[in-house]
Amino acid sequence: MILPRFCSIATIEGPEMLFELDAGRDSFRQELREFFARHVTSEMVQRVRDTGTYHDAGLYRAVAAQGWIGLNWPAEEGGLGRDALDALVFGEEAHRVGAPLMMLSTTLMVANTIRFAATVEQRSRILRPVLAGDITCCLGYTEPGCGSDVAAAATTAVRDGASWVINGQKVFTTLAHEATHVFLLCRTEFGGPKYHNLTLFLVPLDSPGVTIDLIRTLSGERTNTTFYSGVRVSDELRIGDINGGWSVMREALVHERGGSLGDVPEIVHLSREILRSSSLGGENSLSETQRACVARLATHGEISRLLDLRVRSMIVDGQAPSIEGSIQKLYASTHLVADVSDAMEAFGPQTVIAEKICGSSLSGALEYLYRHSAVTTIYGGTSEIQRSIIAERALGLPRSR
Amino acid sequence: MTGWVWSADQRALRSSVSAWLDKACPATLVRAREPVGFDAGLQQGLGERGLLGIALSEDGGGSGGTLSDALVVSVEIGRHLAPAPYADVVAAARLLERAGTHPQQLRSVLAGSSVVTFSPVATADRDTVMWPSALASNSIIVQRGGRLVLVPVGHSLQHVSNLGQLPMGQVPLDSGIAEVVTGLDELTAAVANWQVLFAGTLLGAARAALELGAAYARSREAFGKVIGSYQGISHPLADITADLDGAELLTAEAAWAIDVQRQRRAVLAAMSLLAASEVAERAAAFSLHVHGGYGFTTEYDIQLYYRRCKGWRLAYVSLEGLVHDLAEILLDCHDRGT
Repeated sequence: MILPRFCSIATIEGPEMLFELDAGRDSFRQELREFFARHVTSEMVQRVRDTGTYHDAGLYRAVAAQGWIGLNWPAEEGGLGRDALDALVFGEEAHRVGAPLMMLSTTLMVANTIRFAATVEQRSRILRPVLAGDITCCLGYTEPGCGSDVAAAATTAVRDGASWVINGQKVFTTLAHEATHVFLLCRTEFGGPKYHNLTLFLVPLDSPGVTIDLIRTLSGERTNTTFYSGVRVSDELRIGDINGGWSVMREALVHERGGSLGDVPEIVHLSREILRSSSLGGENSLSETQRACVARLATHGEISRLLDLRVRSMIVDGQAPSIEGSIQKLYASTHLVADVSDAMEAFGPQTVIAEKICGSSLSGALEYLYRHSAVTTIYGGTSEIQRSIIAERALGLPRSR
Repeated sequence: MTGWVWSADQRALRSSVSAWLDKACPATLVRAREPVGFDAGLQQGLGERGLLGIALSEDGGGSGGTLSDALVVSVEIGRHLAPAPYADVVAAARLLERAGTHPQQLRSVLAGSSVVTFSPVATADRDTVMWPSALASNSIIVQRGGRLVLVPVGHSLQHVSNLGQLPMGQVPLDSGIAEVVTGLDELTAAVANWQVLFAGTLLGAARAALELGAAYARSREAFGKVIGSYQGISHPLADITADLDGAELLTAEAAWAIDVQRQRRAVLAAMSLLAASEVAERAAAFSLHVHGGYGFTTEYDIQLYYRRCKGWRLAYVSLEGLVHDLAEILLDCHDRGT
């Protein structure tokens, strides 16, 4: 049968990729394992849990001292020249011990944007302290009135001589209470065409006029709302062209995937944990529902792992994953939410217990995930945004937003 | 863009098989062969092009390719809804090659002139089996008395009409003419081969069904816009796209794992069939729904996919059975530390 063709994109298969990490990365893994064993204490993990701040200044400095902030940057930029698959190894080892490294994710999202959007002078001035761990960044895109509709940002920046004066508010400015800088999306033109009136600034958080208020979340993670009242920032900290912020942002959102190279899909860990716990009592102790849960979770976990590997393989290959990143995020988060809930039902009342207790192999693990999984379909681009991107770019359907 | 991970050679193979099937297996042929669902000419064509022996060694009469190469073919078979039990035949051929007991029979199978089929349909202790590809088969390979045996299929077998328009029939198993092929230690590998190729078939059909739905959504208008503008249409299609890419990646991995003999290959094969089964059914069902009333008519092709994306797979194995078996292999592998 002659089937309809959307365009040549529909017939391009995925990149050449390996299904497993090659053994050549084992020594790096070993090095990471030893490092994290030395630096991540149970006291640190407990403090992170209690405060909801997924950052430790001492650990961050130790990571910086290893040169690992620039893990994926080429040597001529002061990096280690390791690839996106080494970043996966890094993320896996960090997750194993619960290393609080969210600051690394957000800083890299900003720094990777600066690497392509900033001037040569800015790159040398800003990226060196980033590598040293002296500049850390959080993200200032979302506002009380706009999340998905990023271009509707209402925080303003008005030119005043060699500076800009910023007024407004950002929300979910996670780690603003620990970072040195916030990457702020501001409106710099009023009334003009949409997408041509935004500008990005790297604003020092110790500037006069910055206020940080904490927000508690369902998962226990702490985030912030940040107010900017007459905050002055030098034009030297404007990143990209005046009114050129939107195209910088678009690239930055692709790098959001790149910045989260250290993150491994949570569902991969969950599927391994459920399999491990299930096998403790012996196969015959499981109900059919529990077996079905083990089987489906393992399948979804393996697919999530592969979709993530595909994104990384494209990055290693020098390509920019866009649809592939959306597919990975949509798939992993959708299945995490559903599978956590199903696993809790399958394994019964013990799963609502919030701490590890004797005689219950699954207490403490799923309860947190149920609370945390709710945000995974929201942050980094909601599932609805991801679906729209996939519908437009993979299926050629018209924009619905 | 898809989840398949093909080499340059495999892309060329895919192109040529697709071009051949575009001409040799148009929708009119698929319809003309209903309800029995087998075309001997197509089977012959597969043999002539060396596509049945693509995953067999040259010594065995094949072309020395891999299971991944056969997977490329199975995807195109599914995409075109080709009335030829490719997965069943290739799985049987690989078994016959391993056993070495029926070289003449194998040669004839590879030429496309006779058909032997294998599938994981349970037969133990029964004296007949409802075999999905019976009316296409000269013989079938089944489990009997602790071995895998070759049972001939009579010429006058009655077709049993079924949802997926398969050449289904009830095959008697106790006529006493069964010949031993090999022991049950070959069963796991044969099942895994079949699962991966059948998953590929389902995924080819799923991708075609999705494309039909997306094409309709791009052109059909309602309330002043193309219906693909509405998120109620576009978002489920996007979900299916993500699940489909994932299932394709997983199936490609499963074929690779069999080709390089990874310990996880049985787990991956079962997973790939589970994932393929679920997304194929959803893709065809939602795509039919997108077509509105026209989707429900026999004139439109989407109903051909709707039948087969459920009926092809469920004739062989239920989701419950698949899930149960997968859990067993997973827990078994975990205990053994693999």
